[in-house]
Amino acid sequence: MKASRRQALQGYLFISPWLIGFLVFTLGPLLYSLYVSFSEYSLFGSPYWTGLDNYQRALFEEPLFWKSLKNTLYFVALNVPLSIIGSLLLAMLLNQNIRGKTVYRTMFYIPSITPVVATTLIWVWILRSDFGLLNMMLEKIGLPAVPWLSSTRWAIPSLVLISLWEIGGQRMLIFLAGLQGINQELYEAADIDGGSVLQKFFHITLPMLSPTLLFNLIISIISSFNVFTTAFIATKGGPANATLFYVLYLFKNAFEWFQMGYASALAWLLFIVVFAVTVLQFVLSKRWVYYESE
Amino acid sequence: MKKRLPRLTSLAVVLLILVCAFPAYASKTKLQVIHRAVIHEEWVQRHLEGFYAENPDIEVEFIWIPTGEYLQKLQVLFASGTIGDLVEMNPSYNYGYFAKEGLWTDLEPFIAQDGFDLSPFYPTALDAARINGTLYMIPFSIHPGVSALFYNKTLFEKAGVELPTADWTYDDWLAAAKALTLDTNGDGKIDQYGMQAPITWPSIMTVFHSFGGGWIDETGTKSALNTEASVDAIQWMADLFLKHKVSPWSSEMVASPFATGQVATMLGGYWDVAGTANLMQEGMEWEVVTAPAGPAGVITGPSSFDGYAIPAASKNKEAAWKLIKYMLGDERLYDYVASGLNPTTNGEINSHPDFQGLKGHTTFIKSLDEGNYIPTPMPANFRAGELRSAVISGLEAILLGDVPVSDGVKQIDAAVQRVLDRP
Repeated sequence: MKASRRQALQGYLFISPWLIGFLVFTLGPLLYSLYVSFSEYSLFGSPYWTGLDNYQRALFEEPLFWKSLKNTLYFVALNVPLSIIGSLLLAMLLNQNIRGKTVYRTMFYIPSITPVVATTLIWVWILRSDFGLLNMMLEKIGLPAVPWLSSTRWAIPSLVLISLWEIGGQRMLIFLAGLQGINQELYEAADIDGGSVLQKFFHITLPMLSPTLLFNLIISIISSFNVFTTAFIATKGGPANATLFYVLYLFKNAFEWFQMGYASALAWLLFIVVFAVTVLQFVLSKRWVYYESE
Repeated sequence: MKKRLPRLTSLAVVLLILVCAFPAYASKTKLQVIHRAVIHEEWVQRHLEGFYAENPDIEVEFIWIPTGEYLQKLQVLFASGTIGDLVEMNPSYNYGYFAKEGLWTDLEPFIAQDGFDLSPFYPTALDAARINGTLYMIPFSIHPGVSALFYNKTLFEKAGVELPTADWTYDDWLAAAKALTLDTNGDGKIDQYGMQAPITWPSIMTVFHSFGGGWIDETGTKSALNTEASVDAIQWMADLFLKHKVSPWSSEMVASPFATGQVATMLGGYWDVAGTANLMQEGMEWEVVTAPAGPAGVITGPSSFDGYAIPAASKNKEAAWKLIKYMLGDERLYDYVASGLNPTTNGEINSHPDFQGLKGHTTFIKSLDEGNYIPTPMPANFRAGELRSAVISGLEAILLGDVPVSDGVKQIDAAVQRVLDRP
């Protein structure tokens, strides 16, 4: 055997656990779900081919499909900018030379490593309208109580609040790493030229941070489209389907309503949406993301 | 060779042990049972010793699943072919749907083979357990649904409101609820409500029935929501929140607002008695009477039941049947009622003198005996869970005041019909 061929073989052998894992546990189920999405399948027995029925049903016959998509888009529209701006501000604060900054950094990061179920349950208690912590504080300062999770109007903003708290620290950490990678000489040069704080932010920090921003943006959008656990624990999709997010709707169809075929079709539709949004971001990123190496 | 000898000897010893042990192990039938955890688990565990004493050749391996996860877990177990030999079932866990998919064993041959006497069992439970004429599950418990009014006697007396009686109507109930909705500490906020509005799933159905309405017709294929009686029922529920404001919003209530004295009355089922007794605030007296009569009289429900079913794929059906028979024995059923879980399907056990003094017991048994209940209506396609979800989410929109009753009813009606039209 030639040396190069042997080397290649060894290489494949080394990556084979991942390769096999990917083929068996990811690609296999993925392709099967694509097949199932074109069939009627209740999880029992075998699927039978129904062509585009499931897709047609989602797009043209099910009000809940559009409702769940609308809820999810609302969540994405609130959650993504707030989490990006919030965590960027946090990161900039903690990038200053303040006393005890490592303690703060740890504190802000802790929610990211706490189990979501536990934090959500605590938030449910904080957000209770009758004796929840938040409303008690609001009333102390003379503001009216808000029916956080129990009204159709406030339910999604409340879940955004929970989600911000849960993921903010993680995004902050990534920003912090990005901020520390910025060459200090740039700021020093700006100081000499008399640049203001805002000028430094918009002309140095933001451009230098743009690759990190793009990364956080993409991760944020994908995870916001996939929002599930907080709603599943806190509201179960209610009240009146106000927090029935897309993935929750998919889950109910798959695991409560015996419609694995339809649920698979929903999954592929979501994949198409998220994929399109991500590609769009990469295309648009050429206009605003600056890579030092270029 | 010398070195090998000890190895060979030890191998031989191990083999000998295996050979000796294996027949004893293999002769035991291993039964895998899927059961709900916590309360039912305690009941079953108390009687396992007795079962083993009678059946030394059977070994039972339980998978205890919390109620909240039961449905999803069942589906996964069925789909993965690991459902085992016996399943605790309830119509609300898609019993009918599984039957339609051919996943259960017909129990009639076992009953016939043993001459198992079903005559003391409530026929309504057995009828409801028959899917297209075949009995796939034997119920051990039955209840007449949410069929009683729980009231806080202390709060009634404090407010000088007359105590509820078995001949109350919905109007009497509402009048009392208004009188009992109070700002007790004078801070301008209501802190005691007259009732916990009946808007959770089983109690919604009680209200529908009491108005003479329902959500599906008797064929199980058409929505019955847009009928006068059903609309009246929904209007009545909406008024409790939007007009009379006599109830807190359900998703916001503590686990048992009745037990904490946050509400003065609630509709409840048999199973609520034990829970309430455990949680009730000290110094508060409470009682249970027959539910008030709606415009159509006292018709409660839906009645429901728990029972045992044997999966069609089980390889140990005989052993599973033995466990069913054992758990349906008088001693086990007596203990079931004594634990305050629910009435049993065996009417003779329910009327045992020991139970007549239990709070609410006679009220519920009277409903069962007099048939003032309706078995859970089943859609013809058995999509009960999806149907329930459509009704509840639609009702929530109405009760929160997001949509007017007339529009809301049309929306639920359409949503329900969409589910019923599905295969």
